[in-house]
Amino acid sequence: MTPGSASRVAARVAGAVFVLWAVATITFFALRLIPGDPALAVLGGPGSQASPEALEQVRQQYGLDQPLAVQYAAMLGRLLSGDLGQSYALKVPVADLLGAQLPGTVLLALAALAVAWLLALALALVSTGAGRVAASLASSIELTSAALPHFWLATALIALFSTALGWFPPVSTGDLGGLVLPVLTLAVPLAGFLAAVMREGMLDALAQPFALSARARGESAIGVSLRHTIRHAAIPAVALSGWALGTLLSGAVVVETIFARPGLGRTLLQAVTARDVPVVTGVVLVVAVVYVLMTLLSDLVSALVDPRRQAVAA
Amino acid sequence: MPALPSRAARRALLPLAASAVLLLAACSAATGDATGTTGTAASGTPVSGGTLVYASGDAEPDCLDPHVGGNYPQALIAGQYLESLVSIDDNGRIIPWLADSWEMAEDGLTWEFTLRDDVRFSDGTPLTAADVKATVEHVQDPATGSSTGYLALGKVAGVEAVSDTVARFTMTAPDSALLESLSQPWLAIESAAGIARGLDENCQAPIGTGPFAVDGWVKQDHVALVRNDNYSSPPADAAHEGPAYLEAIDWRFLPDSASRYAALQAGQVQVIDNAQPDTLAAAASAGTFTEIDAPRPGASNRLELNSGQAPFDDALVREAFIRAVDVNDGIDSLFFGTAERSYSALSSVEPLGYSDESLFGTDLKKANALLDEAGWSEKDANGIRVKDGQRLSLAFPVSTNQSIPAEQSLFEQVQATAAEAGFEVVITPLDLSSWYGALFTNDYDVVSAPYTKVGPDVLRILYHSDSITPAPSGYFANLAQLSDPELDSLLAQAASSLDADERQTLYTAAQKRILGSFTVLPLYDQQNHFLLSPTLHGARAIGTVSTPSFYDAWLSE
Amino acid sequence: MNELLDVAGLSVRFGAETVVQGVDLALRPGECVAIVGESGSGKSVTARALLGLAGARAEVRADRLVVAGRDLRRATERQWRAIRGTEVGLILQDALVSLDPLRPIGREIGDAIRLHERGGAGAVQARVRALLERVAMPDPDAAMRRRSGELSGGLRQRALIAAALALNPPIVIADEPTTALDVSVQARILELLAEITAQGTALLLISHDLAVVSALADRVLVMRGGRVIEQGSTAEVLGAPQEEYTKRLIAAVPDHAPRAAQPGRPAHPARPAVLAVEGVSRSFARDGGRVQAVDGVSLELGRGETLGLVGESGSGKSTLARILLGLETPDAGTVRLDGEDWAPLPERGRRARRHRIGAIYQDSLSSFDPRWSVGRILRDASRGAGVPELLGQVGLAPELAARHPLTLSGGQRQRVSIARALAAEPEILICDEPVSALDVTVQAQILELLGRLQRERGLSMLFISHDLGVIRQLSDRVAVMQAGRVVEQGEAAALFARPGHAYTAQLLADAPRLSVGRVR
Repeated sequence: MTPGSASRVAARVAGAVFVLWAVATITFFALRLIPGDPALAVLGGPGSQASPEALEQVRQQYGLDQPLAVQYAAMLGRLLSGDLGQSYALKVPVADLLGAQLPGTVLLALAALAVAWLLALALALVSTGAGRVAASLASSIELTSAALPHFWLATALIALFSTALGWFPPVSTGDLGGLVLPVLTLAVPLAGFLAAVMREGMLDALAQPFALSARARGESAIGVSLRHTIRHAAIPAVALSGWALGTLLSGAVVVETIFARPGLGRTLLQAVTARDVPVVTGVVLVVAVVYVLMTLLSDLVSALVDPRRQAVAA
Repeated sequence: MPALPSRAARRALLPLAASAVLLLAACSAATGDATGTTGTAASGTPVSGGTLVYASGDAEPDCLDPHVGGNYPQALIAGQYLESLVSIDDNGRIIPWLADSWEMAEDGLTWEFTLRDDVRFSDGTPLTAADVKATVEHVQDPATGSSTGYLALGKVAGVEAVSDTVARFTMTAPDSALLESLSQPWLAIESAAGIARGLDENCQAPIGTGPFAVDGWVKQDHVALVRNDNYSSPPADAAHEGPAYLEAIDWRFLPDSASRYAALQAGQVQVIDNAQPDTLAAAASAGTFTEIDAPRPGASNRLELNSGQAPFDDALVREAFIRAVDVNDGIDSLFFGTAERSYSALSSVEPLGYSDESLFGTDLKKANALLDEAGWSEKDANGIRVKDGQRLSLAFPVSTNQSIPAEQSLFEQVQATAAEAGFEVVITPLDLSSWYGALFTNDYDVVSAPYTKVGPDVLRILYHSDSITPAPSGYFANLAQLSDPELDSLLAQAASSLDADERQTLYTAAQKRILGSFTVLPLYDQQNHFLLSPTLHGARAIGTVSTPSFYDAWLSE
Repeated sequence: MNELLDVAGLSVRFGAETVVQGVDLALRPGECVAIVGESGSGKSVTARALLGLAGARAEVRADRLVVAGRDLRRATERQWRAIRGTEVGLILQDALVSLDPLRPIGREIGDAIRLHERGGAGAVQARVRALLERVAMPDPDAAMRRRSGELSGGLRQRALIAAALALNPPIVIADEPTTALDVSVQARILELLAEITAQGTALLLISHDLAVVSALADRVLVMRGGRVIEQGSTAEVLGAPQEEYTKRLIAAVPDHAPRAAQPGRPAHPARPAVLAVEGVSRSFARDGGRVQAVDGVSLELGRGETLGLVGESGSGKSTLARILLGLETPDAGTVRLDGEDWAPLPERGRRARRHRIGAIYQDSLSSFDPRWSVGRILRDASRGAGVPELLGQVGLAPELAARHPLTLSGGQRQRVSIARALAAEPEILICDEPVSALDVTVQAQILELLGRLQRERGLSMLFISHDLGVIRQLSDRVAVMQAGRVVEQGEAAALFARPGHAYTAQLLADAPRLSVGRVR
């Protein structure tokens, strides 16, 4: 490893650590700012008529009677040693809870990303260079699908494919059939967005002289698309994929609730409602880690797809 | 004047319309079953076996032991594996369950319950009075963190196991509501050995005497219940004896209303709860599914006006508000006729409920006159009344966790009709914790807070002036902040009255005072609708807290 | 008649607009025919039409269109694809964008083979290697795995030529093949093209550079406005042009006597230096190492004179220009403006004097904010002079103030650049390749304008270019830069007549000259 790339890697790692610290800190203070006593979360929610003894005991046990700064330091200390704490409401270690929920969400997000890519590529390939009508039609499709809100799309897909046609189950069944509608719900809006970006990249590439060179060698129009412009179109899409995964994770909250899939999204929603601080912190940290890793991965893939970036990477 | 559906209602209508159109397009030969309020008439011979899939729209409980905390989602599921000393039949009468018979002393300070001698827990051990004692001690132990059960046993000093089958309750004062309290699932009897395992294990799978037992719990996914083959203790109004027909119940959590119904239609689940008005209307027109309409006991769904601070500390203003607000059209259209207007502070399943429609007729002229009389005669540029530089502005925090979209739209109707008399109602949708926060800090003038409890004793919890004092957590139940010494005395007397007739007279008088104070605007019963697949027979809602019982249920294919 | 290419009455229309009209063209094996013209003349469209690549909206008609024995007037796409690469090859300008920058050149070249012939990967690779050897690519195996961006300008142009030659087409069309290249590299590529022609390939050369044309072509066609206005052998057309336009074209080529011989220009006495550069160095970090862009450069710009700075890409001339403008800080050395410190100096020390140095760049379009009108650009730069006045100084009509740079021609834009530079009333003007992107006639006009302005205002000019002809025309003195160093400087006439340094001599030898009567 050259000195240059070693320092780049170190810079990346430092950046990632900083992001995680910032996320933990912001979550900690944000949860303290909204109304709701965490001690009550332990005792079953604010509606519980908990006795003063019970409250006192919980406050001591969880260190909630300490000054805020002390609590913050304690949390940081725990996180540094890898201890995510215990859920107030569910009384199980956060790490266990997340470990059970994470795979489902990650599967959903990755599948949605893959399907979005396929849909976007298909649309971009078919509509590029096929004439003005095709281009404006594709543009409308992209815009509409990118604007679809997840909750509406989910309900519409259920109404069409489940209730009316009976092809797919409306709620998660644990097998692949139950994955189709949730994945589509997440993938379609993202696909519209990616397709617009890809088509832009393809049109840009087609205008370049190398496309002409390729045609002059006897390459057909489709050949130019597949051999050349696809890669150029992929460049901005790959760069966006890191960010896209983040939006997929947040979209997972809605999708997991509607399709009743176990996952981080649902866990997070319930934990925020219940003011279950350790779980919220844990989920947010996990999401941040996934985000950082995905961004790194997308940078690496970018460098593979576009070797010109290698010199400027990181 | 018919009220137009508000924007929110129209939003709710859109997916409904989409679904409805597609539903009508789908081919399904519908044969309607009679819609009963308590359950399906068992048609045909019960078949043993099968797994029932139940989809609940309520939040997943944190702990499967209803002694811990004590909310409705826990009651729903605990009803399958836990049983209480007594039950309540369809007419509201107390009937034997785990306790065969009971006797109260003359002074009301001791009760003796004689248990059935043939009951076994799901682990095979027999039920004895020692388990009753352990249960009560468990609920009363602060470490358990019980709230509902704890309150209900407020007058119980202790329990003694006189013999294997007799348990003696010692009271600190006569409690006319004890049997009603003991019928609730939050005081269901658990095995002493099970309790002794410790809180964590008991939360995972309490050991009870019910027709089913907890087999496993995958958090955020489902709870697996299996048939208890040792079962021998159905309540007196059950349809058969011996173990249940169903082999297992798969209890799932599906938070989204539309998805739940879609799952029912797809045959993925056979029962759904928390069926909302649009789903009920769709089911009714499709005619395929059976509906159980089982309002929850305790208080009705009502609006309460905070009489502890301005402007509602003035009774004239309160009455003006109640006269101005028009909810009947809204209830009719937003709930598609599935909810009936209530004029009582108590649920319609409470035999001792008192209702007075005359107090709640809409009369805008009268409302305006009252407000003028109260000194709110000036109006600002927006038509909102002003007095001494203060606007007649009401804070109305709404809990989105508790109020379904139809109800939130109804509140917007309240806002609109109140505005006609010059009230400004500021609706703030909040999540549960923030909503409690608003209540704790007295940041509300109007609020809707349901309360489920068996028996009219709930009035004491809701309207006795003691309930204005907050618990250490900040919680207090008397949101109307009604402080009426005469009412307090009526409620206290009724709570210890051991004569049924006297009790009725006292509670009637109390309710007259409550309704007459104009701190309460009753809307409708606490809605509790279930939809069942036509393949499910014999399911019913039991008369305690209106939770479903699948003991007599069987699946046909 | 063994013509490989026989075209008569070729016309190309885009909707209502006729871009090419009545073009006759013939090519024989081993012959090089050049089409010259300025931008908009239709020469490139003609070339593409011969491959059926004029564009989807183009209507191509001809009385005769026979390529390699096939009548292609009503050819289908499939038929066109059969001849592209096999019968006709195409070499475009600037291999950096004419080869897919994401793919190794080995694959690009291999594509040409794979599209038309079957063969295992090994066989294709062997042929690619052979092609690279034919175009004299050093270390073909390593080069095959590189992408166009990783090779130098000359090497990637060779790769582009290899791709065109992959299937040994009898006809090769080269559209401005050397325009983006440095002089010495250009010379090598021209040699390569001559070699290919000598081996029997017919070459159709499209160019605006008459010097290049005169070096390679046997026959020349001059196009203007879509029509061929003159054609004949190179000697005829360039030596004894008949048409006015052709004469103007030839006259515009900057190849005449060095400046000092021009009338009205006094001989060059010693002048006070208005800009003194001493020992300036600058290096950059790149790819883990350091690159010395400017290495110990010392020179002087006298008042009222033009100093020409010659260098190829990578010589550091642009970096030096940026240092002189105060946009870069030198690592070592000093720059003095009229005796006072100019660099290195914190910016606030320079701000008051900034207006004394102006700059003009090669790409005028990207040196303007595209949203600003011409009037706004000039008002922003002006120190009091009115916009019509500024426009008038550079020979532009006042109505142009309302227009946007995108709507102007290249020549007009460069005039606006000059007007903007002059609006600040500078004493020194730094011109970095200001005419390289312009047509030759426009170039001549701009150079003439610069000369006039300098005389009128007594400007001191630093003129940077790689084009020796242009330098020769304008400069009093010349400095030659190579790899960050000034290898030679001195009086223009003397330097060009008797270069002292080997590099200068090489540059002069490589520069294509428009020589009439050259025999091939």
